Parts: sequence; C-alpha cells; structure tokens
Amino acid sequence: MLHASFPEQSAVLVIGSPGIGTLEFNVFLAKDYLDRGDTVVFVVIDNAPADVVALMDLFGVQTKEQLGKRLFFLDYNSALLGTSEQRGIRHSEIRCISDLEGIMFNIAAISQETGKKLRVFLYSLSTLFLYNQANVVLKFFQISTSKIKSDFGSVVVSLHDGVHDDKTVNHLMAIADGVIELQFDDELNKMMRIRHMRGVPTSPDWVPFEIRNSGHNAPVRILEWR
Amino acid sequence: MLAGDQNLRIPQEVYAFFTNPGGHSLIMRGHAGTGKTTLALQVIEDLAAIEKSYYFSTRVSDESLFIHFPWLKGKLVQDRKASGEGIVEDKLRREGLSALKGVASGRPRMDKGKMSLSIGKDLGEIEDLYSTIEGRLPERTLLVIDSLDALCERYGVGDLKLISAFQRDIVEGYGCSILYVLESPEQQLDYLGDGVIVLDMDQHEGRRTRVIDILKLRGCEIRQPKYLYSLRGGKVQSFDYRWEKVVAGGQSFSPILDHSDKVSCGTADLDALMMGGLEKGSVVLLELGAGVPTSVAGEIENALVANFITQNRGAVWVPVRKASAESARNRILRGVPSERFDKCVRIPELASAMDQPSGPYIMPVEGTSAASDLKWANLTYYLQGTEAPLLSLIGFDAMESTYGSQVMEQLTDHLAAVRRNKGIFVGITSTSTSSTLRLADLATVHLKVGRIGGTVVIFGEEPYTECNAVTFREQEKGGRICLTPIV
Repeated sequence: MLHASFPEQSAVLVIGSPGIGTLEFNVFLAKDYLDRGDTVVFVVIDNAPADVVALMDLFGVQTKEQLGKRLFFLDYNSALLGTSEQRGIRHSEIRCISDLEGIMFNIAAISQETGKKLRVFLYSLSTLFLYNQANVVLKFFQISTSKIKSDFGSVVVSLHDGVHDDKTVNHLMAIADGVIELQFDDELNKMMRIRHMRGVPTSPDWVPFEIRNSGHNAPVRILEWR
Repeated sequence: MLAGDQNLRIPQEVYAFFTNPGGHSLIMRGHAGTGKTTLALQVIEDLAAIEKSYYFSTRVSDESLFIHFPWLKGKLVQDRKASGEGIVEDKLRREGLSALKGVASGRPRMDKGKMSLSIGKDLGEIEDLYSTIEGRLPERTLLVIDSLDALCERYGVGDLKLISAFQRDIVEGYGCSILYVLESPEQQLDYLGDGVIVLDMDQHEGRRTRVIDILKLRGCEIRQPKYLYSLRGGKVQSFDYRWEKVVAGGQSFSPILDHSDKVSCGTADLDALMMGGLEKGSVVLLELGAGVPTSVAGEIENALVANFITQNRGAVWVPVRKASAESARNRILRGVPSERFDKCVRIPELASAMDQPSGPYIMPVEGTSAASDLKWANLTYYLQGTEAPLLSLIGFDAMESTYGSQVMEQLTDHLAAVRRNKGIFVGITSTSTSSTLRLADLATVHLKVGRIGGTVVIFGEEPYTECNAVTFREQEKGGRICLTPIV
C-alpha cells in the first residue's frame, strides 16, 4: 500500500534508526511489489542473501517460486566479507558481485532478460560507506539512481540513521526523489513518516508501524447471530 | 401491553428505526446493571429475521456470555468471516478508519506470512470489525459494539473519533447499522448517533423499576418515549402502553381449579403473586391507583367471577365504576353461558331504581344499610344451588356512593360471616374511596395496581412483592391478564 505514494520512476531513500527494522521494511515493500506482479531486484550488502530470503519467506513471499523469475538477488555481501556461502540457495539464483560497477551491470542484465520494469532495493548504502570513500558512494548513488530511474524503474536505497555526518545525509536526501524516515519515539514505538516525496503531498505527522508475528494475533472475538 | 407485535420484545420504535432503509447508528447508554448488554442482544434477536447481526464484546468473554445468557447457545457462533475473504476490495472505502490509523485510505492487503508489517496505528479488533462487515457486503448487517468506551480505551482512540469513523465508513459508506453500548451515562456523544436510548432504573413505592428512555431516533416517529421493561430470564421485555391493541376476548372461559386448598382468582399470575391463590375465609384488598384503566380492573373482576361461577360457585358482585348489572353480565357472557351466570351471580341493585322486571342475577336491595342488604343468610338464599366458597366481590366506589363513605362500619358482620363460612371477600378500592385504609387493616392480602409511565403494574403489599407489568394475552385457562415481574 505504501508504494502507492511513490512516483513511478523514482529513487527513494529510507533512513532508519538502528534496530528499527529497516530490512523488514524493505522486505515488506518488496513483497508488496511482488504481490502486484512486479519484478524485484534486491541488492544485498549488509546481510547474507540466505538471511534475506528467509525473512522474505516469513513475510509470505514465495521465494522458491519467484527466485530467478521475478525475484533476483545481487550479493555484494559475500565479496565484502570474502565468503561465498549461500545456505540453502543455489548459486544460480544469486548473482555475486564484487564491486560497485557490478551492481549496475547486473541490474541492466536482469532488465534485459526479463524485459520488465524493475523495483530495485539496495540494503544498505551505509555499509558501502565503510568500504569506499564518501564521495565515491555519493557519486555511485547519484549515477545509479539516475540510471535506474531513466532506464529500469525505481529504486529504494536504505541508510542507517546516526552513522553518517549531516552533510552526507543531506546530500543524499537532496539527490533522492523521496525520503522515508523510520525512528523510535520516546517510548520505543516504531514511527515513520514520508519526509518528502516528489510530486506527492505529504504529512509531517509521524505514523506508527509495527512488525509482528502474524501467528500470535489474538483470535477475533466477534459473535455471529445464526 | 407487549410492544406492538406480540413477539417483539424491544420497543416498536427501535425496531422501526433499524428496519428503515439505509444504515443507522444507535447509542445506548446507562448505568451499570441497567441491562445494556441484555437489550443489545435482544435487539439482535428481534432483528434476526431481517438482517445478519454481529456482537462484539470487549467486556465479557464468550464463555461468560453464554453462562449469563444461556438462551444464546446455538444462536451466537464464532464469526468465521472476519478474515476478509471474499471481499471486493475496490468497492471499499475506509476513509474514517484510515484517518484514525494516520494512513492513506484504502483497505490493507491481508498478509499470509508468519510476519507482517503494518503501517498506521494498530487498531486490530476495530479492523476486524470492518473486515466482518465488508465480508457481508452488499448485504446489510447490524453490528453491536459492547462497549464503545472499552474499545476506545483499549486502542487509545477518542470515542468521538471512533464513532465518526464508523459513521462515515460503515453507516454512511456501507449502509450498515451499528448499535453502540456506552458504559458512561454522559450525553456528550449523543449528537453523533442517529439515535439515542437511555436505560435507567427507578423506584415505585420501594420497588425497582426499569425504564427505556428514547431520546431520539432520526427519521423515526417516537410515539412512546418511555418504556417500562423487565430483564426476566436474561431477556428484555418492553411494555407498550397502547391500550387499543388489547386483544378482544370471546373464547369460552376455562377455570383454574383449586390448588392445595387455595382457590384461584382466575388469573394464574395473580394466584402466584398471592402465594398460590385465595385462602378460604380471606379478605383481599385490591387497591387501584391513579390512572389505572377500567379495562384492567374489569379484566380482574371478569376472571374472578368467571372462575367461581364456572365451578358452580356463587358470587355476590358489586362492579367497580358503578357499572350496570347488564353491562357487567355482558362482559362475563363472552366466555360463560348465560344460564350459569344467572344461577351463580347476584348483583345488588336498589329496588327503588328498578322500574321494570329484572333478570334473576339482580338482587334488589334497599340501599340504606349494607349490613342488612348483604346479610349472609340472604346471600345464601339468593344463591341456592351453588357451591362454596361464596365470593363477595365489592367495588367500594359503587358501595360508597350507595351507602356513604362509612360503609366499612356496616360491613363488619358481612366480613365476619365471610370468615366464619369460609367464603372469600375481595374489595376493590380506588383513589377516591374512603374505605381503603380501614380495609387494608383487615385484609389478609393487599395488592396494589398502579401506572408507571403508562404501563400498568401490580405489586403486593401483603405479601410483599416486586412490581409486575400487566399485559393481556389469551390463556389456556383463566383470564387474559399476564404479569411480568420487573426484575
């Protein structure tokens, strides 16, 4: 439902406080796109792809059916860590990349293979800052998001809040078409707001959100008259 | 009277309100113990034939509900449609709910995974209520929320905002109806509902009474704004005071026989009120309060006389309101053969006022002394061939107009003879008679008939009983009066 607020070809920056569930938020958006028939490319930098696949399974994504067809993983995490372990996932379903150029190269390849608009998720930009100069990452962000918007579809890029200087964050926000902020309030409730979104009126209000285990929902206690 | 339709237990106006076209919201409020839950469930039952209804309780568990209201078993079942399956999404608008949640309008997708992420304020059960209603669309349904206060507290939502959301989405958007039960008796939310009814408890001569006060029902004519009601048997019974709906009698009278040496007064519920019936040799006072309709006193008299004479027992009868012997006889003849009446009933009439031959049921009297006119030996002579006990049924308004306000002084011998001969004396007094207090001192049974907001009630001073609402209904045996305890 949230994607309805996103312009069709856009770059959206998700800035989340550590521990608030930014990855889950990305998976939630990805599932939403998959449910309506879109093709999703998930660029995994912070986590092992198997962990993201497992999380997607928990959210009800039919990963076994979708992988390699409408759901693609680009694994940059293995290259950064120097491992190649893909627990439970065939190598053919994951495309390993070893540098920033590989990301755009593979996105272009998937676009060509599927012939469809792509919904790209990049999780997270913060880790790229660990391994690259800030100006390199900023340039990558500017060039890659422009390219995706113009040629492939839309992109959601995640950034961890509080780990970058204000200037860098402001720069990223200036480049992005929209910014979604995820923060805890004083009572550690999860709150979100759309800080801005190109061409879409937004509310300054913080809206609560929850990540929950569906199986633990209390049964509905509505009695029906026979 | 029962509410309009004999099977309808809720006020006629409330029934008409919910059955009008379109969706409607009704606020029901009242203090604890007034029977809000019971009335809410009664509304559902009375509307069951017309629309699908759902009951949502924040106050009691399903198990407790069935313990408190055993009659619900088999009628209320756990809703299986709250999952939202089968909903036509593009026809749904949740604008009010979305405003509460703080998100854009529209219905959220149903996640099938083990985990989910929900955006906006989590309004769990409130969203389930929406799904339940939406799952039935375009069918019109009734949703009862018991109580709104608790639901608002549970989700930290203002009651004003929640009612506004329901009104916008469910009532006006989907055309469904909602009944809100409010635990707080304050009236600040009244303007938000299409209708408002208040349940209240009151007292009548030390007895508890219950009143439904209909404050407003938008688009519906309120003919009776206040209804007396009872919660007997865990169900609501409201009482309509439109007397024109009294069922006309006519079927033959079948007597209620003596039980455990007690004589029936011809009305089973009145017998129960008097601990089983009339004791032989007893003196009974029936005190009519202000505004008691003639029809009620008449029905009691009719049943009493008919029950005696159909068992071949004699009755001396001075009808209340100075009804003529002819009209009194005609009332009884609707269910009793005329020969039986003529043989067993004697109605005293002034000999000086009789200008033409009279029927055998007329007992000419001089009208100067009740003691001599109602001499026991004379009565038994007039009623030869009838069986004991003899009934002496005296309307004191008529007696005092003939013998004066001190008539009780003249009845001492008569009352003594009744006791001695194991007869039964029933005196009926009204607010205008002077004999009430004196008779009350002598009476072994003292019943009062009054009127509360239009509904007639009967209660016992001796024996002491609760208030009972009077209704008329044809019975297999005895007269047509039914009593429903106001509990």
